[in-house]
Amino acid sequence: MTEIEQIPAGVYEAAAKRGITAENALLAAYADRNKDGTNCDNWIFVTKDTLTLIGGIQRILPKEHVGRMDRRRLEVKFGQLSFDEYLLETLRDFRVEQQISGCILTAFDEGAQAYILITHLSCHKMEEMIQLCTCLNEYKEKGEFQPPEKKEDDRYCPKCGRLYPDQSRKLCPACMNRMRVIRRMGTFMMKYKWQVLTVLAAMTLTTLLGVLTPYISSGFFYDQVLTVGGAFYGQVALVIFLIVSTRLLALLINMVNEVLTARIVPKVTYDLKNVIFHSIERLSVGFFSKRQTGSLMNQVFWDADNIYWFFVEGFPYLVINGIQTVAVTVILFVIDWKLALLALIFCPVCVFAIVRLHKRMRKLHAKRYSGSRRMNGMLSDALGGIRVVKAFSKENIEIDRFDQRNKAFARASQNVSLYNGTVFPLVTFLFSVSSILILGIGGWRVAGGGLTYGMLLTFISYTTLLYNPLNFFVDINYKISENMNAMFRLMEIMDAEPEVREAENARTLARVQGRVTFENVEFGYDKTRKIIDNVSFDIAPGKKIGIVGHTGAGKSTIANLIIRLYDADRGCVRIDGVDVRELSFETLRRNIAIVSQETYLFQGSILDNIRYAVPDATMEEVIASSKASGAHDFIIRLPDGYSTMIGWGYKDLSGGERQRISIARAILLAPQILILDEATSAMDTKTERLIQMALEKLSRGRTTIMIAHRLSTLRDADTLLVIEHGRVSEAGTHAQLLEKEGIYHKLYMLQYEALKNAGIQE
Amino acid sequence: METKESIQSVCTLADIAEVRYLRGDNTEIFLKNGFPGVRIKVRQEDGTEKTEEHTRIWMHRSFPFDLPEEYISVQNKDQEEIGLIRSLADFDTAAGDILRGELARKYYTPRITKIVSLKEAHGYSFWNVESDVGKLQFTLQDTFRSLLRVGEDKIFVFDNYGNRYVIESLKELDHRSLRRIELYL
Repeated sequence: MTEIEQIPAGVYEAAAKRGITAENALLAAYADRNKDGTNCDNWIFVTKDTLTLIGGIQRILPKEHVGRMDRRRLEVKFGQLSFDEYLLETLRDFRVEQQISGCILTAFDEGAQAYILITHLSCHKMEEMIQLCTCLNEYKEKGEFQPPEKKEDDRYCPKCGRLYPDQSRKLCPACMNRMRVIRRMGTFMMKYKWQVLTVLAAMTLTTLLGVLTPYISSGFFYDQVLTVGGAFYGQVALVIFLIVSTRLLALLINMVNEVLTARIVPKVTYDLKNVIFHSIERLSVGFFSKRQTGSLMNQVFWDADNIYWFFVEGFPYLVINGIQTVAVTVILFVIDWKLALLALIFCPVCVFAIVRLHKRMRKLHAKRYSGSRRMNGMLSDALGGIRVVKAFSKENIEIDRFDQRNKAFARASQNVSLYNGTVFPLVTFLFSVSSILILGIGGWRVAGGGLTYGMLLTFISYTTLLYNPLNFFVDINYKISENMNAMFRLMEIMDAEPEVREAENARTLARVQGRVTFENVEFGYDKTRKIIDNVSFDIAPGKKIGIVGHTGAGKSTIANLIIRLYDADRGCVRIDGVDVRELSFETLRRNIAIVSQETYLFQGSILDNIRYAVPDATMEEVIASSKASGAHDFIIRLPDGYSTMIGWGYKDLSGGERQRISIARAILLAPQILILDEATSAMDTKTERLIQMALEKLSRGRTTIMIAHRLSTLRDADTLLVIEHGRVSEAGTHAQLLEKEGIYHKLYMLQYEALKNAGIQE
Repeated sequence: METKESIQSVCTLADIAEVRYLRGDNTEIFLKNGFPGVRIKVRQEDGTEKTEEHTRIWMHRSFPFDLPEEYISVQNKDQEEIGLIRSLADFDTAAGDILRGELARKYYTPRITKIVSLKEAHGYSFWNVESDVGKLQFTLQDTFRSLLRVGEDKIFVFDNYGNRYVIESLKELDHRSLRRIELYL
């Protein structure tokens, strides 16, 4: 039996009572909701003829019985609640349907000629259930049971038993050891160990001097210099000199420190950002479609600053403050242990107060932050869409909306200031009370002769030295956890495996012939919906094929699969008979060019944009390809010709102009396989016709795949494929398909009529 | 009134877009194997009537937050719209109950009644909650963006696997639970 999910022992017993054993069962899976949608443990067994669901509640025995929460075969008590049995004979077309929250497993019941609901499940179990469905459907089709590929059950964190938040990265954020993250980042920062060490050394020196100063300026000054009989009685100048020189030394070291930091900071952040950008660039398209790219970059660069902070400031300060606290405490005890005890009694009270206040403060700050985010978001919205606002004269509504957000932000800011202004002085007061108490009791001891006046002053200056580290330590925990998040995110990106990877010993073909083959290809961007469903075709080298279909039928997806932006879920895409997964990226990029409906131009000159794929092309080649794509004429009318800067913040080109530039880019590469995905959609019919003629010349001897809405552009294709709901529904030449009077005929007549009405004759 | 006349001469929205509304008088609702199906009376061009049958329909709310019982899209297996239901009140009680049942199943969302613990680690937050269907454990990626506030005090929670949970009313949440999520609101 293949277990898609590992079966606990208790469930075995329940199943055995129903006659299901390891011998006669073929497959076992698990759903976490039952037929009514309530949470329960619902086990699904497949035998030769039946599909059985045993629902119940399983309870893991207390921890001491199983040690740590190990999801492996545990001692689980299983209380059975429900039992359902279906005959596989009557069921077909098993599928997982996505609901608003969770999914349902359904199948078509031959007997009733209708769908039946087998069970509910949450999205957590969706993947396994799809596996089950594919397996069952295949079993029904072929009559032979083929168990799904046995994957190791590594979907859960072995430590806490939780599902990994992202299955492509086996990292459990909840169990991530802080030290491990720091160590990992530490090795990454080893490049800067000398700089960090120098900074650390400089800071240690400054701290030590700082700790020394109160002694010289108060205790030593009063007791040894100003007191009759002191070792340096009367030598005021010497002491002043001493004080000034220690201050000067501290200043010097501090300056060295600052200079060093100023030098390292940009370098470290520069390096970090480079590493991050590098990690991101190598990931597949799928990674980006799941996230918002802009926020991803922002987040990541902000993280770089954060990580830098930890290693260059946070960590050294942690050490320094630690040293300072210990040193000051020792000194306090040396001076007068009774007073020291008194001083330390106040510490816990202060720490408690500070912790509470900081917590509240952070909440207020977070509120202010989200307030400002909302306000800024609204602002960029309203300004970005100013044309729309004006066109519908909705200025007043926008002003009102801004007023609301602004008010909320102002209120949040006010709360922060109020808190700052009223509560923090209270803490300072608490501290001063403890100082005064020490002064009182200390004064009493001075009067009694147990302590010199100078020493008392020294003591009090030292207690104030405790205040800063105390504050630092309270806040550091929060800051460090912020940093851990930043580091974790960075590690996530560094560890993310691109979904589409180059094979280890990928084949490089010097020159491809241009045969493109699809063999039973299936693909979907998300698991429940197939965009491409069992598509097969074969394009001989040098042929021109057209792909036709409604919006969303899956035309562009076919193009994406050929250039391997995504990999097929099942089946295989071949170029010259070789699986694209075995070809090197180099081969693919050199021999296939795509001009898609989304034209993207990089910031730079038009020349650079055309030469993007072939940087060493000559000017003649660039001009020739621009001429062929119809771009030359408009480029040459621009004041700066081919040197015109385009892209973000520069000249804005129209949709048609952008398309012409991207076609020029593709023509320049002169690839063996050319994919034109709605490449001329934004052009008028006349320009399109001209470009068609140029492309016609270019496509001679090259495999050309044209995806278009306007059927007139595809008339002379060798083969036309009509795609409907991800399947090839018709194939043939223009004349053949018209004769057939199928979908193509209908589409063609519709467009033909529309064009005739518009006064354009084909 | 000059403008009024000119408005009358141009097409109204109803002329431009034809929307088929399903009502009790043109549509029969039935239940088959627990799933709803429809029989729609269609008037053909030659004036005769024919029935269009779908043994199973899929339903989707157009305005799930504001109008849960109105403007419901009725679709076939390929997610093509068969028609729209303007309001469930256009059907008799029996048919309405079938449709409500299907909507309730599709839109069923566990209701969070108590937040037992909420731990944040490395940008993810780990929730342990009690709901109307028992104890649940789930993880959110980017907590701020995973919470959607609808109206004054209703919160939708989206976990990283695409499950959805709902806090019906913040006011009815106990003080401790409220304190745990307050920061993210």
